[in-house]
Amino acid sequence: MLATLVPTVFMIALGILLLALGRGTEAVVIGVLVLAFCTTSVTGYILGSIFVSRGAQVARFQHDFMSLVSHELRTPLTSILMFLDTLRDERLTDPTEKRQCLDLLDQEVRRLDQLLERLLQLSRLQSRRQEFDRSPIKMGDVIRDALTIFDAATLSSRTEVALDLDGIDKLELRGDRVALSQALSNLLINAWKYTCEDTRRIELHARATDRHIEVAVSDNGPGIGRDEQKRIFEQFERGGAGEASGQHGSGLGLAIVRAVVRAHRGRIDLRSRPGEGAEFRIRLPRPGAAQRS
Amino acid sequence: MAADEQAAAPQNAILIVEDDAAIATGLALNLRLEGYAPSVVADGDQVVEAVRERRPVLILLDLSLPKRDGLQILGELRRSGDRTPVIVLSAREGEYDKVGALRLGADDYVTKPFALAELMATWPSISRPAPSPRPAPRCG
Repeated sequence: MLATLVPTVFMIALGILLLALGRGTEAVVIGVLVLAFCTTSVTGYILGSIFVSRGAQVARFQHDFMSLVSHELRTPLTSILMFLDTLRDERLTDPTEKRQCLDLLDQEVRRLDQLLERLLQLSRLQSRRQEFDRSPIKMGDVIRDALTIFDAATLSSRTEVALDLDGIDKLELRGDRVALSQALSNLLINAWKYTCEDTRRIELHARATDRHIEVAVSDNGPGIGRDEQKRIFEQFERGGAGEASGQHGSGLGLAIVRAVVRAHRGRIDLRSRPGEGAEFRIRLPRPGAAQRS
Repeated sequence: MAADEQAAAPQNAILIVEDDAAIATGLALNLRLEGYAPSVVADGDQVVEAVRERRPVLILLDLSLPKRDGLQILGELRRSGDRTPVIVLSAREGEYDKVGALRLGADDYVTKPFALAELMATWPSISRPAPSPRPAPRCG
């Protein structure tokens, strides 16, 4: 820093002196040239350091990302190896314990598979390599598909989602029916995961404004603190309540939902207070809204 | 009171501090087969209390825990004068964590994923010579 600064200051001083005190055109020309040279080198220096620090930032981000990924992969791998060892060494004699081992093995392999699937999906979304269907679809179909996925994923404790569709059934939009219903089901499953079984209440409200279709999923879970609300959409971020709940989660779900919504030129907001549940609201643009406005 | 606690804590208790339910279940299962009495704590906040109650001969400590970091717990435990052997189980491979854990008084550091045999080989040398009865940990 100092090594570049000192000569530059001297050069600028020299340029100014030449301009101010120099007699004749030669001195003026040399003065202008010296000053121009200084400006170029200062600009070059500033731009150079900006690029270098950006590069370093990207490298750090990639390093953080890789260490998070390897941590997430190692956790299920650890239990898979452990249960395999346990079964291979025939340490278990009780058939129910063997059964439990196999069930957990199965669960962990699926967890690994799901994690890889989500990582790939997120990477496709972030590099914009994912192709989205843009054909006209009905919002009612998206919601019905999401509820079907939700029901299949929550067989262990069936939950009725309170619906308020407000005549949105036939509303059309352009988008990817599969990606959107998966994103919506992701919000529903999150609501289910982080609410207490006995008091669980999940609601889905949909409504249309002039320009948007809004779908909101709300729950009566522990809620999300203000400082966590922004971070929670980042990959590998899980709310404190989520971590404490002991629920499996990769911390990728909401990052994927946000990427899908953004790819549809929509946005997702979160309203929540600790202890008062959470509401995730997706807003998607209605086709033709731009012309009408 | 003290006698009750003594009775509640078996001689071969092992405390597993692990927030991943599958890993905790697997560890507990294998430890039971080895004749230990394992108990699981998933939450960093409960460790000090569990150690005081159960008087384990060994603590298996995961580093990434909700609420409180494993290293922090280890530090607290050692500062309170508790010398229970601790094996750190970690999916983090950084030198910083390993050196940090050993400096704070961990007896061994095992990286996930670990082979069960490897883990089981580490603890007899650490935990088998049953520790002589320790004075109750003092607070402060």
